[in-house]
Amino acid sequence: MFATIFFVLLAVLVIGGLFLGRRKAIAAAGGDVKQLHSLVSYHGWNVALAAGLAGVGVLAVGGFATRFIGLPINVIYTAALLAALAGFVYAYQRIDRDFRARNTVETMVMGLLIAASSIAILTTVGIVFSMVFETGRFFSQYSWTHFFFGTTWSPNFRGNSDLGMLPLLWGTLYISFIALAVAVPIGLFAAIFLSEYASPRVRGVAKPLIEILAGIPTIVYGLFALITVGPLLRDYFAEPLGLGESASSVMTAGLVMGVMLIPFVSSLSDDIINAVPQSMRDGSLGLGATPSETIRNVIMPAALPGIVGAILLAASRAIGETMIVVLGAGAAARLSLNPFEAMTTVTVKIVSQLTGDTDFASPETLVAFALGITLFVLTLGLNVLALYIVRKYREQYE
Amino acid sequence: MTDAAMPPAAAAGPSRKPKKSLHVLDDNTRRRNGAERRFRILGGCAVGTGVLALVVLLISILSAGLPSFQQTFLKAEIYLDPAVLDPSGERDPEAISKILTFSYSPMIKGSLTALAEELEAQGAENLTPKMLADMVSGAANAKLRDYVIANPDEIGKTVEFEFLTNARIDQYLKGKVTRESAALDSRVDVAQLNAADELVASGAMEKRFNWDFITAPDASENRPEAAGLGVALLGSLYMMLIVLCLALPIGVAASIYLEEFARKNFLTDVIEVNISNLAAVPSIVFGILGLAIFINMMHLPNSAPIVGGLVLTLMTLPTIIIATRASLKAVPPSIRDAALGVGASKMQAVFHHVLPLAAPGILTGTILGLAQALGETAPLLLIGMVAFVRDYPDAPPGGLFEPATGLPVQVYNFTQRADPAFVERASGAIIVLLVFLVIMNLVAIILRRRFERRW
Amino acid sequence: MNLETSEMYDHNQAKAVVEHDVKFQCEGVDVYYGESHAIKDVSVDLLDKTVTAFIGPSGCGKSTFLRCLNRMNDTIDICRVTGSLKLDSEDIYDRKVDPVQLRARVGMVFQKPNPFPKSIFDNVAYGPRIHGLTSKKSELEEIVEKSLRKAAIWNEVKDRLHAPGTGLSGGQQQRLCIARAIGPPPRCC
Repeated sequence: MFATIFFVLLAVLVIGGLFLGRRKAIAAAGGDVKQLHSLVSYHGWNVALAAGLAGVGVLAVGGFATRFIGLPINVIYTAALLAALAGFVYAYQRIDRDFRARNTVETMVMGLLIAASSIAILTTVGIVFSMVFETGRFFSQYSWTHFFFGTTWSPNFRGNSDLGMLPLLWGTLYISFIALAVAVPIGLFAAIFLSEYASPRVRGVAKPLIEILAGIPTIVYGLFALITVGPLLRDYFAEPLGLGESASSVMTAGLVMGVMLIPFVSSLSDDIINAVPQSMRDGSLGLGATPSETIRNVIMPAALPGIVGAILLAASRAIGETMIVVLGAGAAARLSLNPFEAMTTVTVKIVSQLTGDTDFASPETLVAFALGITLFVLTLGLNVLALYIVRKYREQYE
Repeated sequence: MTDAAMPPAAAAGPSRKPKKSLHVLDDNTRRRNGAERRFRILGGCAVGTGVLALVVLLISILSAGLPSFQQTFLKAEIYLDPAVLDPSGERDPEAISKILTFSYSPMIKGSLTALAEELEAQGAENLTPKMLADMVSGAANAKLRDYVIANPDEIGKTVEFEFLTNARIDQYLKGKVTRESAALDSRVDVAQLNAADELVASGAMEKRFNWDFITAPDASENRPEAAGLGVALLGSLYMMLIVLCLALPIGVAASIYLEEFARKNFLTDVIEVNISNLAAVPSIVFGILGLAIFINMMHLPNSAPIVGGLVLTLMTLPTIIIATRASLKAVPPSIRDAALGVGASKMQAVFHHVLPLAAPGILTGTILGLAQALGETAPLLLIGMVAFVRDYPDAPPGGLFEPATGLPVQVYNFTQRADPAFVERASGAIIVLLVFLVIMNLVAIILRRRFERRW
Repeated sequence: MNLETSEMYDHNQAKAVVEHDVKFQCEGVDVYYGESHAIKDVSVDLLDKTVTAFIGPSGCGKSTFLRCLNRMNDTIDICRVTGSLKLDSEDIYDRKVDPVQLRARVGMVFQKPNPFPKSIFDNVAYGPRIHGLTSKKSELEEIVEKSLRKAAIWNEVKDRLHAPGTGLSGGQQQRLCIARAIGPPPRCC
């Protein structure tokens, strides 16, 4: 209710400012707008922006402060409205013939632009902030050595849980390994074929087709794992070979995730292979090397750092992937080598500990934040390393 | 000019081996050509595998999901008894909607009994009224009630109504339930299947396109036949609106600052590194952010599109910023110089000239960012959008704070239910999602083709 | 601007006085890049054991013509070559000719130095290795040294054969590329 009134009044002030500022500017110039320093529309904008920014700014600060000092909501809205009014009056009375309205408006717009850019930083701070505190609370209730080095994961909502991360980490790494074992050779060879061998027509058809794979949401891959790949692997591999009866398994999730990563690896490798200068190819071909010898002996060694970077990025994706493993890998935490057994990952457990009825005081819920920060640090490390390698590689040929 | 082709003689030493014709392949070349061929085939196989994976994926989703757009109905005449439905006789919609679904049961029972008798007279052997009642979905009452509320004038008349059948009968008509599986299933028996055959033969039972799948809200665990995507679609729409309204202006503003105004200093370096890292942070981490900041700290409601929209906005921002900066960069500096040269301020040059020229690229990037956000699932799980929601949220802005689900989360929701009929629903929901994604991508491609400008 | 047939011919006649075998015999060579006609009807004989220089303003097709001699133009999709080019009276554009085998015999050094991102040694050893000319390491070392000596760069690099080839100066890099091109030793002719 307060909100509606506030926003209506704020809109009145802003729109009113546009017109009144304009009118006063024209009046100040005695009807001859050429006398003014700035165009009349800037005078209008100046008043409107001053009122709007003051109002919204006070509202945001007040809204944030009330979390800590508990101000009643109507006080905040009233204060914000008063601030908007003050901004309006201040900007309005400044209007005269020599007032530099354009510069003032541009300063305010610049402030807005900077504020928008800083959201990127705020997001990162928010991510870290949201996890660090809860992780701290978790470690005050549960020993960190047990968390990082424990080999059993059996949460129990009545207390006395074993919350060892190793089985989850093992599942994550095992699945990521299979995914990369599928995606890296296929993606790399596909990129080589498309950039070095395929005729323009084949490239024109095959490249977009492979890129479609990249645009498919992960939930679709998850469902694919659940209804097609899982049962297929169980019926034709796991059961005949006596390796297990579960449709959800490391292999299911790994294979499907591998398919998901193919376009990722191939488009990154494609960029990197194309960055190797043509003169290098000519040099090798001119000596009588076949195209494949050129690729293996000249292009690959030259592109290797970039490709390693691409693989690291793919690995970071695989580790952070959620929906495919939620639907394809299973929920049982175990340390096993059999790829046809169901295992679970860090991301699956974050989802399962934070959905449903959660009690933010118990270690069983808080552990999700510790898992989250582990995941964040792991993927961040891989990303930073990969981006660094790729950037160094690019500089080499620029 | 230093290019030089060297006739071999230039390098030839004193020893002259017998000349070999170029027209004859020597063994070494033959061996190397074999390796070349194998390498090439390997490359072709890799591309083939990728394309094959795409085809298998699409076929498996389509074949599992397309039947969900059809549903089995049982047609029967029903007398809408005014004594029950509208005791006051004023056809007042409010009074009619006060009648509980429970009150419709005797009417439906009567209608089905009449149908059974009629068919028996025509020579059907396996039908009993009870059997027909068992075949009709538990959701049929509510559907009939909705129909009556929408058409109060029909009260007192005998109308032909299509009763939704239960999921087992529906799956039998779609070939997923067999007599063998029915024998093991407590919710259907072989006699019902025989009866269904007779009903189909008599024309009383048939499959038809089912709009309700797209518009109806979710249904309970035991009624997969009634479950629809209405609430999920609305929730996704709300979230996309929020993403569009927030991510586009913020993303464009941030890009303008970073690309046009920012001086190279520590702060802008930090921002740059931040943006490229945010683009690669696992989506589930954004879910944790949403849960901790928006729900636990700011006390926004659980399961609400506003929270989902905010989280997806933060996820989409890097995509939009990267695309916008690329298209700003593509505008040649001569345009800026020209504007500055006639006395425009830097800000005017950017807003009057550079931004309009970069607009198509920005729009394309935004659409692709939205498409990515539309399919995102994991973060929404953590902010409670998996909840079972039956009521449509109101129109914005109020509706943004009411519980809803999203299309991809609804898919996840369907997969978590025990009844196998939900697999079909999940795949059907995926098809709807993919249709939206295809449309969005096509629009982006068309925009790019139409407005692509080469300087 | 195109390579003028008449110029080429005059130059050739002057040489023809000396007794040498004809190595390359080119007749009526036309090269097209897509629609554009880059070389028009060039006929020239290149002699064995002689140095032949092509001179002309930039963009007149010198490099394009050279690239025809070892079929480097095959690597450009839109390039089309017609006419007859014979090496030791064998048509090098014959269907039976494998360009790989041809290039092993007709080396090429490019305008811009393009050493591989490998060591100096590996750069020169690349040719002999891919053509399977040696199996012994000592033999390979011998070839490398010989080639580097012939390209007049041995003294400058003999102490750092395993340093990357890209670290050399521009002129050294080009000489390295020359050594690389003459790397495959006594080629059968």
